[in-house]
Amino acid sequence: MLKVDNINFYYGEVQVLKDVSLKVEEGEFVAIFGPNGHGKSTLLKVICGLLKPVSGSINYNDHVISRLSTQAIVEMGLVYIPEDRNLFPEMTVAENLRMGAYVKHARSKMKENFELVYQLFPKLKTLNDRTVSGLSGGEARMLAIGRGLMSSPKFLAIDEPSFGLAPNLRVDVFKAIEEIRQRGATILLVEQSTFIASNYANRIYAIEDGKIIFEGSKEEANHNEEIRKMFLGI
Amino acid sequence: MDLDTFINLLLAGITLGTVYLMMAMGLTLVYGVTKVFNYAQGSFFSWGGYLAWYLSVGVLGWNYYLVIPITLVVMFIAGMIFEKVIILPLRRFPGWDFTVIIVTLGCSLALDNLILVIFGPLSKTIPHLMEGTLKIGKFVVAQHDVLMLVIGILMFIILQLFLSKTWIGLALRAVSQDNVGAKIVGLPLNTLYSVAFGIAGLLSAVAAILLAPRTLLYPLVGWSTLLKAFVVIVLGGLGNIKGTVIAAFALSIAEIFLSYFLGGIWAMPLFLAVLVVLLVFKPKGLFGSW
Repeated sequence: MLKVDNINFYYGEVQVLKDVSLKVEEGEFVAIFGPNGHGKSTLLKVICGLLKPVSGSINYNDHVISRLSTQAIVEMGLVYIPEDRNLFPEMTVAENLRMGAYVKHARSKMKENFELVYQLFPKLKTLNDRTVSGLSGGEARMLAIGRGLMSSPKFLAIDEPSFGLAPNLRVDVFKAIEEIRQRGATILLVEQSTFIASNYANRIYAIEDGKIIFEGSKEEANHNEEIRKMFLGI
Repeated sequence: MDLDTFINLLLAGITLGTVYLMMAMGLTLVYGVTKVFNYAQGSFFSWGGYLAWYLSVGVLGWNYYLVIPITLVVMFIAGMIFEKVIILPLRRFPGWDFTVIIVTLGCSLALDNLILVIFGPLSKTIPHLMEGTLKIGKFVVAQHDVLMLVIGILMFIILQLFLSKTWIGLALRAVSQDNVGAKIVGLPLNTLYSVAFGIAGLLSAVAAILLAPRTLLYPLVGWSTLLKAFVVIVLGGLGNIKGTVIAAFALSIAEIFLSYFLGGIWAMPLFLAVLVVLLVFKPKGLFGSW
């Protein structure tokens, strides 16, 4: 479904992504682990079109998307959920969700998507008329994911969904993501710690210093000494 | 001063405030959505007025009530084209946010001088919306002034409804609050940028049609309104709607009373003095900002 080939990306002189290649099949739950500042977020931003790669190509459902605008990519059903949320602070929770449904194919499904979001995150329903600036970190995180769901995604690229959340909330968020996958979406997420995400992921990549250094199943990751030390902290 | 004069001055101030409010809303909307402070908006005002004059009493002699909607539509489209042709291409270059200041200033000079070339230096008059007067109790007011107030308030309400209910309106607010977030949900940024300029063009034209029957039209007519609207924004706090409304009416009423007692030439110094005091003591405005 998604095929990333030899992507290179620079911030100024600094090469942040070095020949990164990866593949995600339809219906998979793929997690990319890596320490902070090693290119995980940059990779997702390149995939969703916010940043343009210097070289390499990205294929999504047999279309080359590496030169398309984020708007065009969202319209194809590939939706990015950023770590720093990028919500609309002076708009209400309901208005933020509605903005998620702006693209054409999502507008016709707005009603059912609202119901889905409220079902996954019942708390959001009670906060409907609050502005975002008054939400807690966890609520804002749920809203960011909910807004992504409003775009009727076929493919979700999620940046550190559990970052900064209390442990019980992390589990809730991952349960919701897994449910989204079971409803037919494909998931690619990046995380710093493998702690919870590895329970859900089918396949794992590890990224270090802008390079993919490991690819395999959870079991393979568990048996790889280096990976275990680096990411599982065992 | 008798009560009659007081009421008349107050009404003149309030109606003037609706004009400043519309100009201020145009500047704020464009700045919020596109991050451009559009110095050419004063020229939008002038062009709106001259266009209405050209189509009606000036040259073509069309019915004024037909001319008004045509002027508004043309100025909306002109605003959009202005953004597409002049502002959008700049965005690709590093440091464009500075370049664009010079470019909008330059455009306003060009647009004003184009007026001078086409229409000449002599001032023009455009019609009042209605010529008669209205008796309210023992006060006599011009129907045009009543319409200024009604239209000003209506435009304000329509704009607020547009920004809080429609897809495009909500998207405009979204872009102004988080540009990256807007990209992520797939909002058509380039379209929204030009719609913001279009709305500013339309609001400037409304302001001109309401105000110009009082002040006459001349090539630089838009500048004083633009500068006053700028002070309104600074006083009210950039992007603060409530603050902008209060500031627009407070300043316009102050302007009218000052002009009555000291003469009209003191209006601009008043605004500039307010601006200087604000920038020194309260640069974020009286009511805070975004």
